[in-house]
Amino acid sequence: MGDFLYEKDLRMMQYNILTSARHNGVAAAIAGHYGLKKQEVLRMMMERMDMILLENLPARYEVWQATGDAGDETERKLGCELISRYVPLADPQAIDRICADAKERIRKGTPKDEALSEGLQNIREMLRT
Amino acid sequence: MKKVVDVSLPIGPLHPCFKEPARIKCETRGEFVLSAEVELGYVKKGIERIMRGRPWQEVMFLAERICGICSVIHNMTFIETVEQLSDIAVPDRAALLRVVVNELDRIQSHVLANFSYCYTIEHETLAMYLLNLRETAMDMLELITGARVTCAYMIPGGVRFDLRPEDRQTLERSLTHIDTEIARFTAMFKNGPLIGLRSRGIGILTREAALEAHAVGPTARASGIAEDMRLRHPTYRKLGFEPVVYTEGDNYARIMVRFDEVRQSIRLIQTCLEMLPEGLIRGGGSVVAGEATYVGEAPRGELTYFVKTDDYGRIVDISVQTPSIMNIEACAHYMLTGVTSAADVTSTFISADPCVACTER
Amino acid sequence: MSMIQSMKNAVRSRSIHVSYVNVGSCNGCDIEILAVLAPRYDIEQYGIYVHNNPREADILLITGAFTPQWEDKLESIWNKIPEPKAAIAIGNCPISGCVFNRRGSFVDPPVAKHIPIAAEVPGCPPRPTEILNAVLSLAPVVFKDYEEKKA
Repeated sequence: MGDFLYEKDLRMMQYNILTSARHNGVAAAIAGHYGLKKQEVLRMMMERMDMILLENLPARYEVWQATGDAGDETERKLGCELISRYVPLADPQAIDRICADAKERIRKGTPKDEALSEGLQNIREMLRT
Repeated sequence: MKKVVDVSLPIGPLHPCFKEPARIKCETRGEFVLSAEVELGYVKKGIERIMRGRPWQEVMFLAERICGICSVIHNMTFIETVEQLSDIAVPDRAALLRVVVNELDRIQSHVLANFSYCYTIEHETLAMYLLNLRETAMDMLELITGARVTCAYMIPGGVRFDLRPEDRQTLERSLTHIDTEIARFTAMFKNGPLIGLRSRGIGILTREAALEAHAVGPTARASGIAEDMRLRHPTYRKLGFEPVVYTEGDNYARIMVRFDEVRQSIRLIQTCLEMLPEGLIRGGGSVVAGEATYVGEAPRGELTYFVKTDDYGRIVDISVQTPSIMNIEACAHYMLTGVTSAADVTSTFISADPCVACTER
Repeated sequence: MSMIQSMKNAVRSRSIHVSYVNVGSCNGCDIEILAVLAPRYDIEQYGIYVHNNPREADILLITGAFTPQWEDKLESIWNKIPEPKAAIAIGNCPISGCVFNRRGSFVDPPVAKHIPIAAEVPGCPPRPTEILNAVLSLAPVVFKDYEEKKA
């Protein structure tokens, strides 16, 4: 692809946004939730989001903590709405599939912890690709 | 967010309608906007990084310079955060004077926002009326605080200057003037058929989307969320404050919320002046070590300061969350989606009252 | 002075187009520039028009302490302005960086490093009248007898 007239490498500026204390906290929390490295999460955010969304991540994360995934415990543990709507790193449909899958397995009798850890594993794989 | 579409329409960074540089990249089909992205970095100065390690006496002035339009509320929120973490009490007279100055600042900010909107939809007559009216509010700010933009009026434990009796009379006269004029302009805006065509039903932000993006201030109140941080402020509670709420969520509602809030601010100042007791305007106290999170209501919405100090009153850690971050995000990702004409992109963006200097700090 | 030159002088003295660009200010100076538009100061009575379009501007007002995003863009804006042209730095930021010019910040003042600045209006922010005065006193210096001075 040819060079755009006005396009510029913005990664340094995106990184500057993410260096603030609040953003760092959000990245660390998401990394902890899904068992990823913080640097990986930062890279994903920089690749998949525009700059205003990056700025708004702490507020969105707070909204999720307060009201997101409220109905269902499995969804809360997996952070379905967190990763697809509030911090949109992944495709909502794929996340819904993983979530439904985990719920189905719990219903069929798989121990809860096992199903949840497998769901988190699936989300982690999907985020990495 | 990379998509292959008909036209990618970049707007900005320098655009006749924008007061500040921001670049909106719209993915459009014909003129129908499918999605929009905002590119920032044009005013990123790293103020929070400069603030760390400096005494509060310096940070106070830096906080004010986060945003030039709403500098009073940045000053007020920072000072009240510091007061909260070191338990400094404010005399009654000073607390009311703070509200007076803060509401004057809100008046000028809202009038400026509505000026920008009218200017963007090319209703220059109303825009110029509003801009002229704003000068009256600026005069009053200058009369009380001594400066037009960066006043540094509030300090821990009180305010800098008292309101003299003769100034009080001028202030009351000016408020009556602003009140009658703003009523006239609101009627002009409400009844203008062309304004209605350019504003009603355009750039709709639903309540759900507003909650998801954590929209705040007039943008959220125009979408039916009755959230106003002034409800939690002790002084405002004494004044009997009720937020203005519209439910349409379009450009028209956002502008009308601001018009109504200007009149509400005038009422608040008048109540303050009636209640104003005689007494000191400065208490005492010193800043100690501690940390606190404090939320204030800026003209654009809720403004959060997290401050951590050490024993010498130096700021160890600070982070600021300004309202424009949430509002521009809500604007870019929800309001602009589905806008039917490229001409409405700028007016919708301006209707959210974006302040890029706040956003990037 | 040739007749054409005197005609040009007469026209240019009543038709100055102004564009403003914010290269990282706090908005304080920008709203003071906007305030100049207000009927109280009435910038148009002097024949000054604020269009904010560099391609038809004569004078560029610069506010702000120069952030990295503008490195290439400010120069390209400056190149788009047709001759004769002048840039005025409004406020302390483009002159010295003001409070933002500290270790750890992203700014890179002064703006004079990047494009030629013809006049500077210090203040944080300067009053609208000062901005107006700067534009009015700079305009004849730059635009009067421009072609003869060049030749």
